[in-house]
Amino acid sequence: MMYLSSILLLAGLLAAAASFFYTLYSIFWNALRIPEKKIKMGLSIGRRIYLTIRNVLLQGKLFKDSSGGIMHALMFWGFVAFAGYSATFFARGIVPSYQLIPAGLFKDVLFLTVDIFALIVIVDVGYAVLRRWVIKVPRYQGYNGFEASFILFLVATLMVTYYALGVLRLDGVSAGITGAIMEGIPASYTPISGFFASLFPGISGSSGLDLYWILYGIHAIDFIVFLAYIPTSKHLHLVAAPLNVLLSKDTKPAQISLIDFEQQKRFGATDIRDFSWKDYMDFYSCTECGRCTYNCPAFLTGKTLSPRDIIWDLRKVVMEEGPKLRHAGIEEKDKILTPVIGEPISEEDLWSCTTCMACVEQCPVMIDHVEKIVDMRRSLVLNQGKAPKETIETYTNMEMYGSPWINDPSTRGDWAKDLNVNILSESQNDDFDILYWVGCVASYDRRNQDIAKSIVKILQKAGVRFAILGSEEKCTGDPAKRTGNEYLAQNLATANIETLNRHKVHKVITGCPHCFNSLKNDYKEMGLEMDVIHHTEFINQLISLGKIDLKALESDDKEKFTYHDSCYLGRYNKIYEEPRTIIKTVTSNFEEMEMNKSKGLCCGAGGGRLWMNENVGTKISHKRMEMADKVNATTVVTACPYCMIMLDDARRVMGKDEKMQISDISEFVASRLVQN
Amino acid sequence: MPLNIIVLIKVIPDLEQIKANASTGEVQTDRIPLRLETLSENAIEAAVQLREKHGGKVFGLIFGKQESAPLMKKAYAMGVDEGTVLTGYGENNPMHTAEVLCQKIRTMQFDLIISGNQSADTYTGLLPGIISSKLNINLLSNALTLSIDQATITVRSSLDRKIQNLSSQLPAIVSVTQETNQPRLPPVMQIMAAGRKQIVTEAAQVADTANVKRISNKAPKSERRKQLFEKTDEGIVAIVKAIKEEIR
Amino acid sequence: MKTLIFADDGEIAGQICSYLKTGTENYVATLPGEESKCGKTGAKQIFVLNGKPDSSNVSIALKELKDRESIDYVFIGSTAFGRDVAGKLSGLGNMKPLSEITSIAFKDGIAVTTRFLYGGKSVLTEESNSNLFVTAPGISEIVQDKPGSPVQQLNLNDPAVKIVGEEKKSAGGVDLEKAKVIVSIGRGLGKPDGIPMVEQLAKAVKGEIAGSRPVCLDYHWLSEDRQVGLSGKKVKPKLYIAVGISGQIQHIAGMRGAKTVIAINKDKTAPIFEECDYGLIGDLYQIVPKLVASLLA
Ligand SMILES: Cc1cc2nc3c(=O)[nH]c(=O)nc-3n(C[C@H](O)[C@H](O)[C@H](O)COP(=O)(O)OP(=O)(O)OC[C@H]3O[C@@H](n4cnc5c(N)ncnc54)[C@H](O)[C@@H]3O)c2cc1C
Ligand code: SF4
Ligand code: SF4
Repeated sequence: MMYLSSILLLAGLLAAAASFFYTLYSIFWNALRIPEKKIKMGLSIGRRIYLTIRNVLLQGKLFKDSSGGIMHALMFWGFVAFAGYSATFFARGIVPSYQLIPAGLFKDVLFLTVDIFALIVIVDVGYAVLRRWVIKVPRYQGYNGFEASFILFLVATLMVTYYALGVLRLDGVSAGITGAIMEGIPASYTPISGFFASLFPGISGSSGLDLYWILYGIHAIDFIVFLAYIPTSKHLHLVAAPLNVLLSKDTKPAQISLIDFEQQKRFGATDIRDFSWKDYMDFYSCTECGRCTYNCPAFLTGKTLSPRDIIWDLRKVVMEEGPKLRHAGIEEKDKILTPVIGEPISEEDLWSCTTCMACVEQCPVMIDHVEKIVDMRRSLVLNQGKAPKETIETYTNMEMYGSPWINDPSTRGDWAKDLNVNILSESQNDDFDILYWVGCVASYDRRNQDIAKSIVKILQKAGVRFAILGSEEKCTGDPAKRTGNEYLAQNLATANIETLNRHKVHKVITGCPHCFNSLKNDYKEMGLEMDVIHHTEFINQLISLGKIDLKALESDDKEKFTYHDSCYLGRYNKIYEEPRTIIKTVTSNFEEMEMNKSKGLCCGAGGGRLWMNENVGTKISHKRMEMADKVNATTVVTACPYCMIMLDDARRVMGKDEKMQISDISEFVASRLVQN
Repeated sequence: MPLNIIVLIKVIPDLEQIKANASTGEVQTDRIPLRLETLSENAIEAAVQLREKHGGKVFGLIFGKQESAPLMKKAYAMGVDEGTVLTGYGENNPMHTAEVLCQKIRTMQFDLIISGNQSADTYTGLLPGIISSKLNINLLSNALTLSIDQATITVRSSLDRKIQNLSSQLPAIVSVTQETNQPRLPPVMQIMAAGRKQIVTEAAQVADTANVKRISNKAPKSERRKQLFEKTDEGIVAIVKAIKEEIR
Repeated sequence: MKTLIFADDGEIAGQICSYLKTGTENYVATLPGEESKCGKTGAKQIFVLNGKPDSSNVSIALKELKDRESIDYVFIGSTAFGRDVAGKLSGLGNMKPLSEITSIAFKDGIAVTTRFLYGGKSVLTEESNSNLFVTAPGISEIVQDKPGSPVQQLNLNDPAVKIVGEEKKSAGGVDLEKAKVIVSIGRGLGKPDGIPMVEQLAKAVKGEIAGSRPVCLDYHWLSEDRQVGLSGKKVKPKLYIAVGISGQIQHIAGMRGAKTVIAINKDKTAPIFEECDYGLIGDLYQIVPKLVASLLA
């Protein structure tokens, strides 16, 4: 019997392993041979190991959704312990006398862990069933098909048979079998099995032995099926996700790469060759968990965009076209590859994205959706000249006027004319310490000019020697870059960098998170070294250095404040605390809205959407205003001109303008400056 | 049938940036960036679409000044195959412009001429008619749509109160409107290629016999007047006057 | 001094005829059905051009008339059709055209004219010996106080192009981009019940009604094709009256091409007052009826 089982087990294991590795081979072939997009990989080993420990071993990013996260972390740790168990299982099953792990305390503790986690995993499966089919957690809906149930079934069966075998072992049924699993582990190290054994009457003799072999068979087959099934299903993430984390890029997530227009031949992502191998790892790592989609502002307000579907659709195309390419030869690329835009990924979905990065932030396996979405937008814009009508108009304006709106550039600095500000385009006086980068919105939009004026007031109060560029300032190119018009973005950036160098600017403060992110991250990639500070950081410094003092207004008692996080300040640049600190130095009447800080809901303006129609579903800004209303806020503090426009519009349209106001952090501060 | 299409392209100073001299009120156009006139962009787009459908060649003609020449690149990027810039443009004088263009056109093989129906700076709108007379080819104006079948062109022509469906044998001249199409954003490959393409400039052979003398060119207003009235009755008097000015 | 006036719109022909008043002997040519609109404006003779008009056969007919009647100056009303005719006639008769004139006076055989340049950004005053003037609509009110002019029917040649079919432009749809006068309403209206009041204003100024995004897109008080702004229509009327509109940048993006802007808003600090020529501060429900009354008075 033992002999037969060894052979069967070996054959099964080999078959499963062959299938496992063949699938992996084909999958990695895809990732290594199809992509043409090159990426930089400069991350330090230390950082990689840190990320891997934090996000794989400790399951760090999963806890952003605590209920599902804890469940998955326990499942993961259970599986890690179980891996040791299963290695022993197969080793002993095939060569009964072989001890993979020598008897001793380590082995005993390992098996103790397994014994405990097996129960946790069973409970987990129950919980998962509950969440998927009883509570119906929304993010799984539509993803509860055969695959999800089959995997849960396999896992549950594995654990149940584990305990059943354990019970039989404690009953002494397997005592005579060399190579029987867990031979020699003291009963006190399998307390859960012991507990189950105590529930059932003992069994022995040949019927016990038959039962043992039947269960053993099921257990083994379960293992084998599971192994073969992993790489073909979403459980590929078991293999791909850890690798994906280990192989993280050095650039920040959602950092849009430069294009070398002289060298490169293909722009943006049209078909699957235009993604990088790292993108393929992203596709393979996706667990279909839906965290991205259920934090996506577009999806949450009724648009059809779903970042999960974007990843999963791309993966499907890779899985479909990869094997064809492998058989026909990689030279046949042009014939086999089909564009991914249109079908399966609709243009409308690509344009719905606000590039808010909520998806990236939430994804437990560090997938970068934004970069792919922008790459596909690039394909449309750079190769076909396709973009929403309004967006094309903004391109023309940016090119003609250096601003997304039609504005006479010579009037850019007019708002500051009477404020005793050094306007460089007029003074050409480079005697200043800090350049205040105003940005298009604050330069031209009436409401936002108040923000610029408040910043000036604060800087002057603190005695900062600053200047503005006036008509020499141009749009940073952010709206062009995030909508895929890299060509225009780089032209604008080049012009601005030239101007900044000419005035020997070393330090910049800006009130706009989009300018901030461009100057700090995008321009840096283009070689500009500059200290870039957002006004929230700067004001906070001024306060803590005692350069300015704030006093509460009398009305502050009756006000209720909340803070709306700008995506480009928060998720893109991790500035969450400074604005809150500033508000709290003045008032304690502060309450967080639902979805704040790293989970903050976008205002709907990023990714060039400030200049596009939003006609499907509800407006994102309206959803945000509802959240502000729920905490009875009378003032929503922001730190971004884009947010200001969106929320101010929502406030009016929703008829909340009587009871609620939107105020930039600079206005909040400027109106509370202590005069001395 | 492959088509030889000539598209007439106008280069104008960017109207948004035109300013008046604060003391004299005279309009200043020097140092104002140049751009392709918007209806010229519609004309280019229409020509390129026809070429894409039927094959052939789009030839761009700019009558302007030396400084207008670089703007041909934008036309190339939008799909114009070849172009010539005729220099010697003085002031707005449609008869002279037409004669310069016709002299050049007579040396060329063409099936169709396309131009904008008016131009954003002068609003004249006479050029298509003059050229049609001078070259003795039919004019199909204010096209909402245009299509070609064999050697026949069909146009939906938008007049003030009605739309006419017109057809004519080629060669002909068509003027397009803003509704004709949405000019494309040039793909980057074409922008890059356009940068490398040659631009031919020729001096216009016809002297401008200007019959118009400019007495003044004053901005009626350089910016908004911003006259505010808090007293309704006072305000209404002023406003009624202003309204009557505009709607008489 | 003899003039020949042509417009496919009898009203515009009448305006020109009224404008030129006495001192010139005016002959008018127009299309069938239009002659009554200018019948009493003092024309010496009205020619009605029968047949299938196109720019070619009309310009030929005008050239013949001009030669036959020894006309000194031709005036053509600036309509889409009129400009085509003017161009054709200029080429045909080797004339000296001048377009879009908004006023004209003759001084010693020299015409002193004004016209807009640079999209209305400036006014040109010119002296010329031009003999064909394309005349901007509305150069004068039409004055029908003269005895009826004699009417003569003429037949046009066959058109040069084939006119396959014709349809009237639908009256229902608005073409804000072409509208000369726009009355635009914003959220300040407070309720859709205010619209009839604004319609009266629109009627008094012969304008189209438009609105800001909230009014069109969010509340549907007006249809979406009447939205002015960044994501709506870009309009460039001669007159834009903003009623209860705050004037956010996304709205301004759609109306910055307007020649004269009038704003009515109760909030002194509303940004629209930075973008207007005349602003009335106060409650629109008080102001608009008064404004309508004085316009009609
Ligand atoms: C991407 C995007 C695109 C947009 N596109 C457009 C667009 O194309 N077009 C557009 O218009 N907007 C657009 N907007 C919206 C724009 O930002 C403003 O919210 C909108 O224009 C405000 O409309 P409003 O002036 O009617 O309303 P409000 O801003 O609420 O202004 C109402 C005004 O009425 C005044 N008022 C109230 N009661 C009275 C009274 N009794 N008498 C007199 N005055 C009164 C108030 O003082 C106030 O100034 C867009 C916004 C975004 C984010
Ligand atoms: S970036 Fe934001 S809007 Fe875009 S897909 Fe991700 S979550 Fe959705
Ligand atoms: S992309 Fe990330 S967050 Fe989205 S479903 Fe896949 S694993 Fe989950």
